[in-house]
Amino acid sequence: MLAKLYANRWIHYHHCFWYARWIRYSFSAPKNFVRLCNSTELIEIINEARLSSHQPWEQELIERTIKYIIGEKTSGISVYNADTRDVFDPGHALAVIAGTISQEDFRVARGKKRKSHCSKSSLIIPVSCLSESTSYKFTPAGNLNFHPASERHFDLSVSDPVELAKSILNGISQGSIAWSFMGNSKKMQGSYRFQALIAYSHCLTIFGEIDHIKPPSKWINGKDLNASEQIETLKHLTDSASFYSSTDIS
Amino acid sequence: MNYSRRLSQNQSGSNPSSQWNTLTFVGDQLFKPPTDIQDKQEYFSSPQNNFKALTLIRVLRAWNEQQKTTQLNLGREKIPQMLMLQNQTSSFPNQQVVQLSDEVQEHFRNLHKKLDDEKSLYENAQAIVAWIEETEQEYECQTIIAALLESLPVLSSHILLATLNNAEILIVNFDLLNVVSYLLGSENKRVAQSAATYLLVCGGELGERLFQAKLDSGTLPHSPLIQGISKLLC
Repeated sequence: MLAKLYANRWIHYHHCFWYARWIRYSFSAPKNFVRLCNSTELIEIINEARLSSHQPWEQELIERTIKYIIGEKTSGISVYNADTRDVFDPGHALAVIAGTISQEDFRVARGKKRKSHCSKSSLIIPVSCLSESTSYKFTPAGNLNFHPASERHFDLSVSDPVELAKSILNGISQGSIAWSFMGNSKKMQGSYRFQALIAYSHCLTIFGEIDHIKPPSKWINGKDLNASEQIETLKHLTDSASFYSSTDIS
Repeated sequence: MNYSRRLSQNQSGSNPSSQWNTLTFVGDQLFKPPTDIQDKQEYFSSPQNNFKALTLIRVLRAWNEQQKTTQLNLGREKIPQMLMLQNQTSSFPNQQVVQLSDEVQEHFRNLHKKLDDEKSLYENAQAIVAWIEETEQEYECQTIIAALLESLPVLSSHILLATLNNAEILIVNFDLLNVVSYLLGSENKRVAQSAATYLLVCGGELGERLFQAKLDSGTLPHSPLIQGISKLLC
């Protein structure tokens, strides 16, 4: 009887805890939005926006921005909140992992190879850079497969994609929008492993020790990946096995 | 219909002209076969086909080294006898080098169509790159990609380069390296930029040197954009 009472009380506190977090992220204004994009197309758009000295922007560049950054959508444009514009911000790292973790090529069983459509690079867009026709909504359910990023997930809606594209191009050319190109090559500014390590470290501060065999109870299953698979894939991406082995040797 | 690249080792009694007539390469877009010896000589002696001839020779050399076969005659007239791309149903007694499934061939053909649908082109390019990633014949596949890139419509060419770069397919083949560096000089700014990105990210030290040499030559139509890519990535 007493055990049942404690169990009910624990469930109550657990719900309160998540409700409080939901309230926090629902009502605290996001600062920057991380948007994941096709790597090569993003590099070219950034390059042209930085070098273009003639505005208004070329129609062809606006169209490519709508296609490859906004995703030719007017609603449900998936973004994640980051507190800073730094590519090492935990918000950015969680966004990168959340945006790519469900790709089967990232799974442990598939080794380290990643197919071309899994590769992403990112823009970190201050909310102040968004056009007036753009609105955002806190949508944790829109984050499908990496629970720690749910509290940072937002959906953008835009009534005038051309205006938003111009705002993004202006932000890039003026240096107010940051970006990161991710890959395994040394030429890329960032790497998936770096981002996975930051996300993993952040998860440790939130959940304590994380083990894929016995996932934390607060870590919720995703649409395609359960909690255990999410943790296992995150650990795989950090390539942390090498750390453990070096520790064992010493 | 399946095509495979084949190396003839036993040509006795076979008619070179008839073999040459069977030469094709993933559709008619890449290699349009001449019909007789005279045409063949003209075909390979013209500068625009010289690269293709060299590509074929390099494939043969690589294959020969790999298989440790006896010396091959790489004379101009012998090329069609040695490198064959022919229907699987043929009874020609060759050894298979690279097998292209119907599905992969279809993706190649789709890239050759002048489509404006970038999403569809990306899907085809991604399927081709997935095929490269899974093959054990990386070098030979990159030779095919080199020849393909040279003949594609500009939008397809850009998208294939972008897809190769996104997948970080390291360039291990000199033909591919040459073609990508050649495309730095494309009049199309998207092709030029994706070639620059791919060369810098996946071309290794040689790629960087070729990149710099092309940039220093001062002949690139989109030189400021190419320099911009270099600043972004380096």
